[in-house]
Amino acid sequence: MSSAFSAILSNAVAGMTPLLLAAMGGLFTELAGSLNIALEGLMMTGAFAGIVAAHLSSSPAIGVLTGLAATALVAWVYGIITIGLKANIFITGLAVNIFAAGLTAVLSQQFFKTKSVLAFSLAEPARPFARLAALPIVGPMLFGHTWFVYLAWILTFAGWVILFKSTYGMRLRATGSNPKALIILGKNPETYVAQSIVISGLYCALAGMSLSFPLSAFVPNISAGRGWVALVAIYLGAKKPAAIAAACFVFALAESYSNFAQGSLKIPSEFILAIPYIVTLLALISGALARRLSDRK
Amino acid sequence: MPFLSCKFIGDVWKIAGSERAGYHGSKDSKVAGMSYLVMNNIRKTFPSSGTVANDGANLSVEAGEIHAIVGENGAGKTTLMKILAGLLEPDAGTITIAGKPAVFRSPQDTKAFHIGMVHQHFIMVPEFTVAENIVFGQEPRKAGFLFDTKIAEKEAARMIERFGFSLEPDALAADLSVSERQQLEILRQMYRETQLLILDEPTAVLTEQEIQHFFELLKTLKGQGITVLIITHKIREVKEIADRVTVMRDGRTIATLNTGDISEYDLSCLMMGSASCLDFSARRRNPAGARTILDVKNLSITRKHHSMPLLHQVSFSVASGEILGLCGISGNGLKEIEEVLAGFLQPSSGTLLFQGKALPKSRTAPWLPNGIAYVPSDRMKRGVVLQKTWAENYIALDRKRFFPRGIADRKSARETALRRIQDFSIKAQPDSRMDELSGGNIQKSILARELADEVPALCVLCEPTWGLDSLSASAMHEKILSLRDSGAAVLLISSDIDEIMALSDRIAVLRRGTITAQVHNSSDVTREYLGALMLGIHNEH
Amino acid sequence: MSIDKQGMNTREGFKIIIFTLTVSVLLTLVLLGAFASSFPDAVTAFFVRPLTNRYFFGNLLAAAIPLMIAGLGIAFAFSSSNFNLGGEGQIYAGALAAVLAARTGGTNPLAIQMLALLAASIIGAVLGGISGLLKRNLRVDELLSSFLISGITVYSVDFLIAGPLRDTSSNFMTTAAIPANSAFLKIYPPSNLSTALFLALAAVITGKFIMDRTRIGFELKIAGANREFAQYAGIGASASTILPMVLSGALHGFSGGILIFGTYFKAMRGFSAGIGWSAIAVSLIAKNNPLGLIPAAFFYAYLEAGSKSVMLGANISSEIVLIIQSAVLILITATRVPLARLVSNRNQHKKEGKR
Repeated sequence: MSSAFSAILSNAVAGMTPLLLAAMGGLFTELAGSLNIALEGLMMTGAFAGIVAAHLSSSPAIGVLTGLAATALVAWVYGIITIGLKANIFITGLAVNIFAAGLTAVLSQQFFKTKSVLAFSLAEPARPFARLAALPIVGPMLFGHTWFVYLAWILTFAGWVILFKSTYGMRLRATGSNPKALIILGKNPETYVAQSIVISGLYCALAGMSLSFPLSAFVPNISAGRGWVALVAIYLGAKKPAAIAAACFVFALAESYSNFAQGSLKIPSEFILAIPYIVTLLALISGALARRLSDRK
Repeated sequence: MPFLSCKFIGDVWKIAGSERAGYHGSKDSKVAGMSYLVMNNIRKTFPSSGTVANDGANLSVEAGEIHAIVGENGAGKTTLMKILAGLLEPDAGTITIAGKPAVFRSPQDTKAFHIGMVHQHFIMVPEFTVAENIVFGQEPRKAGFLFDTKIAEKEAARMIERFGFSLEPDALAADLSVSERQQLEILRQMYRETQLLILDEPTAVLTEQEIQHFFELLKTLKGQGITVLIITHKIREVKEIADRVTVMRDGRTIATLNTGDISEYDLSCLMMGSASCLDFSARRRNPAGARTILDVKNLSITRKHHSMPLLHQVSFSVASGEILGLCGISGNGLKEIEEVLAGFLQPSSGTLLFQGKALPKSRTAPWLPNGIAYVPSDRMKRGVVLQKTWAENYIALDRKRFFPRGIADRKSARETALRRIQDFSIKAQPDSRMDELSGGNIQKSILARELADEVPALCVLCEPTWGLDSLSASAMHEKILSLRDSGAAVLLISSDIDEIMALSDRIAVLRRGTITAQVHNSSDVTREYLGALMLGIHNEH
Repeated sequence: MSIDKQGMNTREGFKIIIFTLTVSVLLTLVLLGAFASSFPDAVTAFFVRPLTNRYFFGNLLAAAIPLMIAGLGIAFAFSSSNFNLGGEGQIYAGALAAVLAARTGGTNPLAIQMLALLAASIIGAVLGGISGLLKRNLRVDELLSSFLISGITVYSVDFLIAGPLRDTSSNFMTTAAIPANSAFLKIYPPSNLSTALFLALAAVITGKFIMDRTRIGFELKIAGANREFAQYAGIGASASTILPMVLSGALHGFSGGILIFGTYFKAMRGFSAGIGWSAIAVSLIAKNNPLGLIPAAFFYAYLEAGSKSVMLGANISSEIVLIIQSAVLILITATRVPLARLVSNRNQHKKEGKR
């Protein structure tokens, strides 16, 4: 039993990586005052571009860089059009998601002659602390993961520093709170919003690649709703990185457990897929209930 | 007679004012010579609306003086100051500071000339601390990109002490009171070494006591050599604190003079271009045979886990043919009473009787059929739907009549709207969108809708002249009095002492959620007396 | 978090529609050029064939039908500042409900149709209503809740179709079909176009009437513009949150039923995917004006028909339409058009000169 337990925990730690990265990226835009629902599409773009480039160049490093660049480009266009044309950011975010789904399918068909799973033969991503995985209890849970996992932690910390400890972060947060405070300084709040969107693109690219690289494959709808879960994590974590990380862990734990349970119990695959939505909905409702109870006080 | 003398004075000052180039000094008798700041013949038109905001405005300010710019809403004073602050560019005219010509393309350009502006709606960031807000834009740094909280808080403490404020550097800006926020904004300017400080309607949000502290602060600033420009429409304060005053009207500068050389009344005339007397005492009423229309008994609103209730045992009544003025400082319960009467807030206990019958707990039906007219304090949010047309706003509260059997009766709606617009002389068409109307016309439109009954039994009017220009305000006061004279019971809820004193037959003072006094409005009731009651210095039952 | 409508005058709005159409056409040409083996063939296949070929044109109109009805649902929700993102689930579940209801046994075609469409509408109404309820009672954002409920619904229906309700005699993952005589009449063979077209047009016209001329429509619009005023005016929270979501859900469910009786006759797994999102785009193009839904739905269906037409023969995935659709979406909510600005500036200078 305990080995199953530690396997569930270990999978949860690995599974929270894409959520955490996407949530941190989304946090940048959220603090800059914009609702960014393009996290799904950006993750998909990163996952696809990264692994295809890695395959074509036979170099994971080039793959990662390409994934970052491609997603940053899409995010940049998304930001420019939304801000420049004063469009509705929710709709344009939706458009990015649809665009990513479309482009990946078209390119997949065009170059690989198939719209379904693209399987490559990339080497597994490195596991820097593999030796420490032998330690009892914490070993499998904390160590033994791919470098994506540790990068996620590092970037979460870095994000916290930038957002809450640096002057750039101050200005970004001011943009979301009261853009007039920047205008009065002669600075353009829209610049910060655009930058926050690009930053979210970079984070989401890594989130997507943390899904496709370990699989060495691209699966249509590889993000499977994680972008929305990331958004909820941001709200549940009250826009604070530590709490967001905790929320991501809880979601990942739920998924990890249900994956485990599916093996032993006959849970339909559709239910597994629906778990992010169910958990998110429950989180939304319980959050609202909690708010209502505290309002009554 | 008064009108004549006013116009005469106005003409004299107009001629004399334009010839006042370098005059002699402020109360502190600084040596004149070149004025520190000269704005000459500024013109500004807004192309999108065609409004001519500034049409030859002049300003001349001495170094180290407190200079007031007065004028009604729309006189052009805010536009002029926005030009000075670098937020707008003038179409024509020059700005000279300490002899050097100044052209501002953005707020950044004004920094070189040490100009700073504190706006009416504060520009602080609520999530930041006091220190973070003060240094924002010129943050002290660690390692090039990190924010140095320690130094920021030290700097903030230094500034706080320099001006004798009682702010805490690590306090959250969102937790500050209104006057503390103002202090914060001023400190921000001082941190940026502002020498010429522009304040836009600084006392609009302050209580009487806070205003006195604010005056002390201005004297401190002046003592430190800072030149202060105040935009205001409150004549009394101009007389109290400013050295000189510039009067603007219709985008033009009418006069610039020493505040010691002109009376409040004459200054008022200059500002408005015609006489305006708030003196309705001759029309005070004590009607016999009046029926109690609204009877409020022991109204209370308690909150769990809070020792202080929002409202505590509030009791008052309004009879037909009288005006009860309910006054208090904002935050002391006026809003809560309005919300209870309007049906937005449920009282924890107490009774509300309208014409002897209880008002139903959930008043989802509009009031008109009940004979109650309600003018909300937040007219933009609750009084109208800005994006809809005049006619749509009108029929929204009487849908039963204008949607017989569920289908719109457009003809009737249009005709009725036209009639009401004419009756109330409103500058609008049935098809005009509500957000195209001026504040005064919007208020008239709300009245036109609420008074469909001609004379409702009860009128609940909340802050009825807030934000209106004086002509509209006078018209509103006349209307309120005529309602009373026609027999309506009028509950006037307002934080404007002048208005309460001018109109009310009886006055009730609300402080900390309770009625601290109910008196008949006579010559014994002075501003000071009411102000003291509102502050709790005096207590009388 | 409701999206506020920017107050634009109709000329600006018109310019933006023209801008969007132009860019989408250009983008389509670029995509065809990039991916098609024969550019002229692809262009003809995409732009011309859907209009000239009976089969394609009829199917184009047939595809516009659910877009119109579901788009009407979006328009109703949006006019009261509610965002129904649950369309996908409501359509899909509505379709399933329609099939199940149709197969309960019964012979009168009209009765079967009415029962099935009623069932479809009810299930959609319930799904939408849950979001409305959550919004009214718990202040849960209906945008998020409807989206999440839709996700759960779609997976649930997937499960049902592939599992307990599967027609084992078929190779596809589908339910059994509705009784053959209850299907709508075909009016333009060999295409799928059925009498549902008239239903859709009637729905849209009725919707316009309701929005513009009835008390309910008026109250919805007031509630959408200013909720506090609406509360004061006696338009309760139920009227401004639950009713529009229920209506919107019902219309989506209804369109799911129409899809079954008009085109598909059985619920195949994933057959209605994407229609909910397209309906949102269509409603946005139509600026939430019910009558505008007709040309907007036609345009959208035209894009889809073009991409299906081009798929035959060229090696272009039909997902190409998604790219074009995303371009349409991203541009249609613009409130500032870059080129148009140059034009309007010139006009302004002329005005200034005349003064």
